Amino acid sequence: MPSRCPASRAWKISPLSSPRSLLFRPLWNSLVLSAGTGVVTLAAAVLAAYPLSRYRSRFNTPFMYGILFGTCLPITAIMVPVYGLFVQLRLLDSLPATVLFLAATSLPMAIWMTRNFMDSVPVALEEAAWVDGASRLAGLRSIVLPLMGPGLGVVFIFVFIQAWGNFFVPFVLLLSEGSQPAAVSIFSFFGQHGAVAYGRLAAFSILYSIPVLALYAIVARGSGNSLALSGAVRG
Amino acid sequence: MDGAGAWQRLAFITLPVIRGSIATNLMLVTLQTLAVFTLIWVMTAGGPANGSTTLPVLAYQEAFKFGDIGYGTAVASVLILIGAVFGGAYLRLLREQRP
Repeated sequence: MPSRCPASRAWKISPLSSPRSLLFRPLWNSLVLSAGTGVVTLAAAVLAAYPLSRYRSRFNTPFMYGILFGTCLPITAIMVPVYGLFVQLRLLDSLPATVLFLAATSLPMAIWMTRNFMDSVPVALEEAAWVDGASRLAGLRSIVLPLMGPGLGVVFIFVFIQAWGNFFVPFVLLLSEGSQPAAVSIFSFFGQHGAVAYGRLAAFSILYSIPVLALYAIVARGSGNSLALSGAVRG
Repeated sequence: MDGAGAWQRLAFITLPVIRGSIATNLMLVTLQTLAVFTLIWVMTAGGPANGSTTLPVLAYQEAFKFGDIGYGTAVASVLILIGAVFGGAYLRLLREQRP
């Protein structure tokens, strides 16, 4: 007697049995949200971290501690006022606006990390570029940024994963099903009154977690040799 | 050398040395847990009978479910204040560690 296959019913339950848009639309929205947040955050964080890292000012330390303090405050606490703000500005249900807000919330941590990475790029390399006639922005773009590439990658992936897993912000700010990311649409599998569609929930959760696992693998592989810059300055 | 066992080594040497790190971690985890909304909302939605309602869940319920934005904002302000207290303590600990 061959062992029985699990009842065929168990195999039928998968997100594929629902309309395709139900599967791909949330994942696409998640991608847009997370990648957009990552790009905006990274651009702002580099521009903010450069003066903090290169200029000596007596505001630096208080500013950095202020940023760190900002990372401590619970995001959940400011969501109600932010919702009110979005209502007044008529930005509810808009992906770009949500991207901007997510970028703003992840900026403190990103600035902190970017500054630490930037500190490890020797100023001497930049000075060499200035001697060769590069402006400050050109030095930042063509010397500092390429050298801290792995660091920037880490910051980007960090922000990306945070935005990817964020449930509360899109849950409050994005109302229509067509614009909700995967984190929110997973919640819809829980259904009303405890009728949980476990098959779909599990299948969708796996799809949802694959990008994060892949990115984590990249970080784990890349961060080992990321910042070996001390060899560039000799003598 | 002085005859300390593994437990004594842990209690009298290791723990005092890393006390600062423990306190810092404690603060950070407290802060992060203070803001947890997703898990509670998904698992119990604050029930049964508000038994698992934390401040973020309460703020959300008041503001969006019952439509009382003002009350929700007030709860959120209290939450921010508590977070600020813990955040201040965290910064102070951090500054003591590396002056």
